[in-house]
Amino acid sequence: MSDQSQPIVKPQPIVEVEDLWVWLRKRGREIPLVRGLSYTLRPAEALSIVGESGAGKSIGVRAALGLLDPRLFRVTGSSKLVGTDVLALTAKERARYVPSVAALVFQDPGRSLNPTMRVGDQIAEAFLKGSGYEPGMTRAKAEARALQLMKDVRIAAAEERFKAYPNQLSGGMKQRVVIAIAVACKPQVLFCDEPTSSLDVTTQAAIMDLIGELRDQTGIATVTITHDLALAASRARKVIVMYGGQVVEALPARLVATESAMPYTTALIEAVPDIDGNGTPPTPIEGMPPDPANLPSGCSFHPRCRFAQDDCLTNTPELRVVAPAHELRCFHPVKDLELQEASR
Amino acid sequence: MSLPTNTQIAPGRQDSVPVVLEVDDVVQTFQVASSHPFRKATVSAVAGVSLTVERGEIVAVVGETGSGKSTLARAILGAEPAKKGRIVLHRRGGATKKNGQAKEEGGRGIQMVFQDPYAALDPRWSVLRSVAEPLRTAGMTSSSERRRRVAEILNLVGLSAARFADRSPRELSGGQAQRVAIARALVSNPDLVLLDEPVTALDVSVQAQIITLLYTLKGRLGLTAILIAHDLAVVRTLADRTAIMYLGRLCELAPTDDVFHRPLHPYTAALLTAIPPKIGEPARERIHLKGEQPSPLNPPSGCRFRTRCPIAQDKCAAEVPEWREIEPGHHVACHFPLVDSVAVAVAER
Amino acid sequence: MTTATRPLGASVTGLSDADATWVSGSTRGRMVATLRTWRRAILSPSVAFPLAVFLIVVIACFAGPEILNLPSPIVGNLNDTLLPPGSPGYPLGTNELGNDELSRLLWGGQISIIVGLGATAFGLIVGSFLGMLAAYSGRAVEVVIMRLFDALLAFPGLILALILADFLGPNVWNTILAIGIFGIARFGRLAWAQTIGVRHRDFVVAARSDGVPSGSIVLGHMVPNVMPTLLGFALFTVGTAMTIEAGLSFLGLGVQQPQPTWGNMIAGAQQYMSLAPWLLILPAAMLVITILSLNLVADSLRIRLDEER
Repeated sequence: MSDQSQPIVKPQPIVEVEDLWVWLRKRGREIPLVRGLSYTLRPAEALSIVGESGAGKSIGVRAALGLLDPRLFRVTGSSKLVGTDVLALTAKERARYVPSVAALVFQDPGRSLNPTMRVGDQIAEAFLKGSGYEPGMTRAKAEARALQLMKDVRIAAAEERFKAYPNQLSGGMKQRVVIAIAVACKPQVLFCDEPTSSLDVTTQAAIMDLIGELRDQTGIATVTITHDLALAASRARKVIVMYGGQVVEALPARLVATESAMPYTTALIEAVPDIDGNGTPPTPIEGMPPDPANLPSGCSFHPRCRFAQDDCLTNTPELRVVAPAHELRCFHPVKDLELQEASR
Repeated sequence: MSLPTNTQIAPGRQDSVPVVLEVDDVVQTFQVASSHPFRKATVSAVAGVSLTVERGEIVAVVGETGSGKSTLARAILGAEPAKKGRIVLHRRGGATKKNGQAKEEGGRGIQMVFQDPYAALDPRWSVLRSVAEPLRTAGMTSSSERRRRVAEILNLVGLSAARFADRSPRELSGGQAQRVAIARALVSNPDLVLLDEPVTALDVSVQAQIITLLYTLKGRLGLTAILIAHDLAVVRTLADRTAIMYLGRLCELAPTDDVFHRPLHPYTAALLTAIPPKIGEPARERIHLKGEQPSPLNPPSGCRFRTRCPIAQDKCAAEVPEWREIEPGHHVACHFPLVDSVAVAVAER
Repeated sequence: MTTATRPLGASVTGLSDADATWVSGSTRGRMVATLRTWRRAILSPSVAFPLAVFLIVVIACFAGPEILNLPSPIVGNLNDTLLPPGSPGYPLGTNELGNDELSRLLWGGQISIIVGLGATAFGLIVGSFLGMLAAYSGRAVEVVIMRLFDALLAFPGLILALILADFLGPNVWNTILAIGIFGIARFGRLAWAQTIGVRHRDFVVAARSDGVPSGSIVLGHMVPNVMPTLLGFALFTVGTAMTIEAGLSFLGLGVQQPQPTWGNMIAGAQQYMSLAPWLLILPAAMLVITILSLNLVADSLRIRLDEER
């Protein structure tokens, strides 16, 4: 934490997750849910973690924030938030430290809010009791700040809505309130777990706009977990694709369309319905995501992979750097195959 | 509370007329508790919706939360009969079914596929029993005949009967469960299938599997269906025609290609631009909607979309826009449809 | 009827060999699988052990007096009163009237178990019928039944049973009735809540819009989905019913002396507590063992079956 006072040339990373593993303890067994997740995030950066349910993306983020119950999960590796490894802290230290640097927004805003409390008071509480507390804070000051925050997250008629209960607000409004609470304590990184999956298309776009604005204005870094590669590619700077608990490809968002080479990523691109096209159906990925308790041998994706060869069944590919800022876990990237085809 | 207005039996149509479903000026309201202690408030969930579905056609009804699309679907199914208006199903063989009467002879004209496949299958029933339920109801008493039929239909949706028919729903993945639900809906050869957000609850890769399955079924069986969705992207490949619904009313109804390439209603245009761009393409020029969707307890006067419309005028508050056919097959309810330069700008994006 | 039996036209391709074999098979495989699940659950130690204890108690109570050729529990020898356990001819001693304590314990157990199971069965059957009826029919029927449950629940259970027992007169069947009525409202409310939950599930909506008859929906979808919860609750209720029976007998409103039940044995023993503590301890211990084993069976069975899923 003392790093911040030092003069720095390149902005220090806010999040450094290193070789994070998560096992679920179940009936005397340990099932690997996340297998060696690593990523780094600097201020004002936007990272998107893409994967299907069970890919380990949500669990990975919860583990990185030290939120998993140690009775149910075993976590190894390190997760440095602003220079401090939260996994090395005691539970008590973690409960004090993590909220001061990071906030998490969940998919269902209805469940994150207290249904019996006015939303304005819920935001103000962050200043009065939460880690946004400063000496000399009074109720009136906290309420004034909460109101300003509601305006900052573009809640229309904020004065009126301040006194509303969560059930009087629409889903999009509730998610704005949740985001307001999340950024109240001025965290340096905002983790959003499927922030718009339960919202309508127009609301989804507006909420993603809001997250982008917050990033531009406050320099907060954002990690967005989503199953929607198109959303990730259009809203983030860097995209990490997870499959079966592992990162299978990581690359800059603007290169997803042209450079992605892991067959899973390219298959995901083809699985998105093309609304501008002529109505031909998307190309599905056959089969199902792997069961973490019963992972396939070799590359986890090989049973569903169109390009799988013998070595994919027997050898386990490592994540390797193929180009600057582009990592890949595959023996036979799509690009190589295309080159082979071309040279023939 | 008014009863369904029409109780007469519609004359049976001849088979040459390909219309399967007629929805005519359907109104659905609900009474809910209001802030006034002794008065109930009325939610205007569906306010005069008309559309037809022809045999072999998939018509999509797209709308966001609170648009009334699910209420409309339930009214068509007969789960909650409409308060006003006519819903007529013209069955093969000339029989008609009105306003969702379920109990008349051979009442299985309409089947539904639900959003959550696990909720749509009884957790204590095997796949065989669930899929065979409509057959039993239809009077197929021979158990071996039912087994044969279930095996055929499971094959049709891409599942092997030997592997899946004796499983219970919790032994199925989401995609497999939705395939079973589709099999159950098709097994009795219904005249119309209601697909209520059939892929919303599924993973992306599985979504594409189900969309492709429905696309194949459409080609092979000439599936007649209404597809309810909140997302235009899903509708693109499946629907022949698409209706856009907002706050209980239809905004626009046109062949799907026209809806995507030449939207006439500002709301349709806004929905289109809100979809994340195709991977690798620049962000769309967005049409931003003002504020929030109003409450269906107190819908705006005139055009219900006017409070959020970027091009609303005084006329929009005063008059309810007429449902007009601007081009052949392209209906819109808007005083100022995007026929001119606006439409061009939107289409070019 | 023709619609359903019409083939799928050109779309049907031939079935694979595996599927063709399946078609000519039967549903027995599924039932075998279900039975296997239950057997695995019941044979797991956390279920099997308390279940064995309960069964031993039941067998001992019902078959024991016959097998061991025990003396009658009511025709005592007044020369052998208040003998301690281990006395010759009386392995567990005698009571104040010289009745054999072992015989009384086993005969008394019969009554306690019959009352416990009988009252639970009565409450379960009547309560779940009314609760499901209320949930399924809705409107006025629902209002009337639910208010009836509320009224029943508003009475303190024991007092209600007391009043009924007093009113009906003390014997085994009236005790079952008095305690069973106390259970109706609890089973009823649970059945109602569970049925409401199932009623709006999509598979019921689908069945109803298909025109599946109401009877089939109730028997096919509702009962199977509601019953496991109710049966689990019933296992707990057996213990409660036995406790209430003990309470009623203790107060002299249940089954009357000289016919023994664990409850009235405890009641009768209290005046001799210092002289013959075993008269109190033995029936109380039997009551605790029986109730505890049943509750453990209920709890472990629920956990095991959940895990199997």
